[in-house]
Amino acid sequence: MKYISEFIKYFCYITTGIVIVSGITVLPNEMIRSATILQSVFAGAITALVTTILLTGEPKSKKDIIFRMGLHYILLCVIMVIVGFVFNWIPRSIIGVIFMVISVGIVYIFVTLTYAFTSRKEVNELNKALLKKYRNKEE
Amino acid sequence: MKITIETQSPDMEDEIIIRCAEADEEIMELIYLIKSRRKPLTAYADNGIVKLSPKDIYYFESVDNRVFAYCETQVYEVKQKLYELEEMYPYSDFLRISKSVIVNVSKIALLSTAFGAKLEAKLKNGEKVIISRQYVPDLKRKLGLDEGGKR
Repeated sequence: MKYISEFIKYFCYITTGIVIVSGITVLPNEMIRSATILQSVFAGAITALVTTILLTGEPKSKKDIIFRMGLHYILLCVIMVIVGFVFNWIPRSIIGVIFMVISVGIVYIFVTLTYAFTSRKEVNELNKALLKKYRNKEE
Repeated sequence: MKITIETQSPDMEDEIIIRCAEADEEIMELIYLIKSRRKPLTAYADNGIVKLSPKDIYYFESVDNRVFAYCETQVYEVKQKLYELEEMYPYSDFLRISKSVIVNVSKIALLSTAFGAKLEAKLKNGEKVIISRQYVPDLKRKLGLDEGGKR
């Protein structure tokens, strides 16, 4: 259940990120075609699956988290370059690869910031409750 | 809840009497809290065996099938497994926050988001422990944020 809910959350964030990046960079002078939206959903599903597998498990330390995120970013780049070639989002050249690596970076930052923003509210509530409970106990 | 403290002669043993219509969960929590704070834990250090008071323990960590109790500055080994420690101190401030760590929630100074969408607890002695996402609902219940859940 935990993996399903995490998958859905990542899928929503990543697919939104891909559609936004497609809108502002891949197709600057065109309307986004319905096929592109479906392709984005497909790419979002694959990358969300990889993200869920890699990031939902329990890290042992900060180093482990950094290692997983590094590996995660590399895997996403590989997947998205392949998807980009298959769907003709990018030219089959080094420029196309660089372009996709940068695009993945933009989506990565977007998802990380969105996740951090939504977590911040939860953390603030927890800190308030922590302060209230143990201030009362100390009194 | 009304609290009455009666003084008595110093030669008599301290006694706590609870008068209630029913020993509900709140009362049970109180009883366990009183008992667990007095139930010392045998721990092992290089220079011998010590008795640790639960309130002095910041967290327990399991490393390579060995369990360690981390106090403010010292680290001791304990013979119990993490699940046994959970059973020893129910209704206490101890809470499982990952597969390998049980933290004393009263020793948490601040919670923050960690790299990789995790939570991190900074303890009052400056140490940091990672809280796994799957244990966040338990932390919320412990802090009274999820009233509908089982405590």
